[in-house]
Amino acid sequence: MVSLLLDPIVITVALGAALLGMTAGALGAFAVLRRESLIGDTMSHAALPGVALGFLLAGQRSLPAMLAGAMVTGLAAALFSLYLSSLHRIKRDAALGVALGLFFAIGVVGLSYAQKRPGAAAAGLETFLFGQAAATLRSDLWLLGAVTLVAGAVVTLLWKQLKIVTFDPDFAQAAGFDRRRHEALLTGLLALAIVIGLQTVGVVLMSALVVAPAVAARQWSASLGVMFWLAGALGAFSAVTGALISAQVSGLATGPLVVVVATAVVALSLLFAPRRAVQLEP
Amino acid sequence: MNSTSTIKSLAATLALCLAGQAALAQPADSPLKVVATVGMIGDVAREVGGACVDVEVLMGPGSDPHLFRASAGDIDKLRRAQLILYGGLGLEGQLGEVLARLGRTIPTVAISEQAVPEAQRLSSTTGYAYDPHVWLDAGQWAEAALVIGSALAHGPGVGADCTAATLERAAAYRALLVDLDAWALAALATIPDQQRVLVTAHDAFEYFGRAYGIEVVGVQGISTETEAAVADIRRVADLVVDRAVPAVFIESTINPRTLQAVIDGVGQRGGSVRLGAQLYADSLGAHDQPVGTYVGMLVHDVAAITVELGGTVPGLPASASEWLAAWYPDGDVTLFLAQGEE
Amino acid sequence: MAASLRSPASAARPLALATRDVTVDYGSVRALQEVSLQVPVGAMAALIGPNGAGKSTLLKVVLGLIRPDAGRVTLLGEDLAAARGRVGYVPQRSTVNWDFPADALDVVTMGLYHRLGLFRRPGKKELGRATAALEQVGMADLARRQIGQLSGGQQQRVFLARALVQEPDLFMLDEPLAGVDAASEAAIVKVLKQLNAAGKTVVAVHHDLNTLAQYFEWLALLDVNLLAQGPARAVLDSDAFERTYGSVLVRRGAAAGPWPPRTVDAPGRADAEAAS
Repeated sequence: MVSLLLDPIVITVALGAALLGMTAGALGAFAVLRRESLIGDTMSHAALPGVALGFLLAGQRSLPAMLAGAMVTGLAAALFSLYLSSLHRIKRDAALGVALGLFFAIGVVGLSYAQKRPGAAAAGLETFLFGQAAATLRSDLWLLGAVTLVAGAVVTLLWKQLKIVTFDPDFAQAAGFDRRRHEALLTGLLALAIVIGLQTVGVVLMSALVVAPAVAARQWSASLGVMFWLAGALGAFSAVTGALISAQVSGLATGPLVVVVATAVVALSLLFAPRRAVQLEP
Repeated sequence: MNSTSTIKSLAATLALCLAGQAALAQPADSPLKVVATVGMIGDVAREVGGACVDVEVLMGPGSDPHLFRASAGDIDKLRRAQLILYGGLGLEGQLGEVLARLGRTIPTVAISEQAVPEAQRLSSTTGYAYDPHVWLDAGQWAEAALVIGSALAHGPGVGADCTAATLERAAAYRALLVDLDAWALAALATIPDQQRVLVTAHDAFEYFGRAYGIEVVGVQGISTETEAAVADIRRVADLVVDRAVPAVFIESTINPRTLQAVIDGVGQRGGSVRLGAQLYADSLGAHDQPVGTYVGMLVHDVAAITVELGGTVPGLPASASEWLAAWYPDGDVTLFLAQGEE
Repeated sequence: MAASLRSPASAARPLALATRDVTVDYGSVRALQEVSLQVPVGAMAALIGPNGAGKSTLLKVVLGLIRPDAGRVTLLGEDLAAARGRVGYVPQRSTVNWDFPADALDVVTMGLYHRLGLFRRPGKKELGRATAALEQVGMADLARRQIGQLSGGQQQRVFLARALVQEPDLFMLDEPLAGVDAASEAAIVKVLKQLNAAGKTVVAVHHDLNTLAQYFEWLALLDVNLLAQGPARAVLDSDAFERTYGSVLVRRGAAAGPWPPRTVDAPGRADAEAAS
């Protein structure tokens, strides 16, 4: 077991997973409290057409192009759902659902089209569906680390603004905070974390890493600060555990394992936390 | 003769003339429309069938046959074929149903299944299925050429001339592959024993390894559908360090990340390994290049592996001179090797 | 056209809140039509009207949360950007996710965030003021209770405290007494009265006709159009009120409330009384 933990390959995978789990989990706290759990799901599924588009435009496997494309379409889906829900007949969750389905479907079509082009298989487009955590490279760690630092810095500096906008956006707006700008910032940070994580966990499951740690953390928290850090810690824990388990057994995909662990953490939290989920106002 | 019988005989003559015209107007051999799933089969079909066939290949260069899903356009192509050739043994993982359905109305031949008797088939590492990568053993593929030739020669509507010509070409092509088989064996035998390990992204080279006496290690399993796990990468990195393998090989159809992770891992363990040339395993290369033909693919792969692992490549057999002249007037195989690396 | 029950001479009185011809459309539905509300400084005002009359919408327009399709808003003589720091908002409870991890003190402290500049965090001074505000609404012993565990009335008091720490001159409350228990209602009204007595202007969307004249002395009746505005008695006696609510009993009950008439001049009341 010790040799396993000291193996540089395992360390690389675990570290990458930890950074990703921490960032996604912590930022997910805001998404969950804003009742936008579905937005992580929407953005990650909507990243698929962007990945295909990036490949098609670059003409070959180009990771920056594919991730940039993922970011663009992910945010586009979020904006599209915002527009839809501003049309007063359509509720937020319905708007997100529509955006998710639409963009993901376009992504699958794009994928099947891109698949016919030379070099498509080598581009590894299919791995974006479920991720390939095992193939975490050292170069990935720099990128993940940078995103984590940036997200951490932004959230720390603008903590009270993000907190008040998350809790009571109307009041915040009336008090003079630019609600739209801060909400956009949160969405942008989340999109970044999701896109960076796609290679590791994949489009289909990424949203679980955003939502599950936050839901688990909520059960143990009395303040936003605690919830934020705890969600990050639980996200990192789930990710590292998943990586280590898959390191032992050949043929066990890492991405789904991470999600299984994260969900188990949620279940345990719901059962054993002293502060249960609070009753909502009827 | 009275008028009625005159008319009758005139009519009869006219009818015969028309029938004769019709018989003459219908060409003795219009090319047989063939659709092959993968290039390895399609190219052989073109070589063997010559002008008697019109071959279309479903999966282009770089397409992964394990993952390929037929679109409406593809199914249309298949439906309009007079003969369908596919690999079988589970190669075209997502096309099983489509091929079964079409097989009810169109003659469909599973080349690998016909060419390789059960006793000689290899199982996948999980033991659940057969390994379909038969073409990487030139000796086996020589037999497959005969199967292809037979299918083309006896296809629907094929005239006697074409049948004979096709069977002749098939025999010649088979002889070429047999020679190349011997050549490959000789080439790979020059690799020093300790370094005779072929590390690739997925287990496509089992038949290759068995035929030419080289140990084969793939990071992923038989099919690229399975995700590589951390344990797999560790296992391969350990092996590379233990055996001091000089190079590992990516394939044209696979995302190089898993191998890069292996290389990273080897570096962290204090060893060093090169990323060797790209190999063609599940697909041919671009149409306008030597690696766009089966012979080219085989020669490229054998040459690349031999050179990167420290062996020397002998000259190609005489029967390959025609192919070589067509694709590489200068006749130097290593030049050709450099070109295939893309 | 709003039937203003004030004499033209009273237009010189300073206004805490003035909207001019505010119109809001939601798609093809008109929510507010040319509403020209004028609430004098120091009024204890209620905004009333049937469901869907646009009361909350009007409040949101005033606070800059909704951009009107036409019309302008003036607060305390200035536009919103300048007057913001002097306006305290108490939103409807339903707009907030009460499952948010925070205690009462935490929420009240949020009322001071806008004073802290870009990067500063709330410190001891802020916590002290938040605690004082909680005391004022009678919630001091529940300061550390998680907000999701508070009753509706307690949550409402927390919201009020949050507005109190801002020390505004104008309070805008959206249904502050809806779904609130008697003790909380009494506490809230007591605080509002105290504020009003100290000269603050209070504008609340109110739903309960029975307590109307008891708590408020200035009313605006809204039903997409502003039907009437002015001193409570005048509005309650108006034709517009009768047309909207129709019940003589309600009117009588409302008019018979024990609220003492204000000693400060309520413009137009003399006219209204003279007219009846």
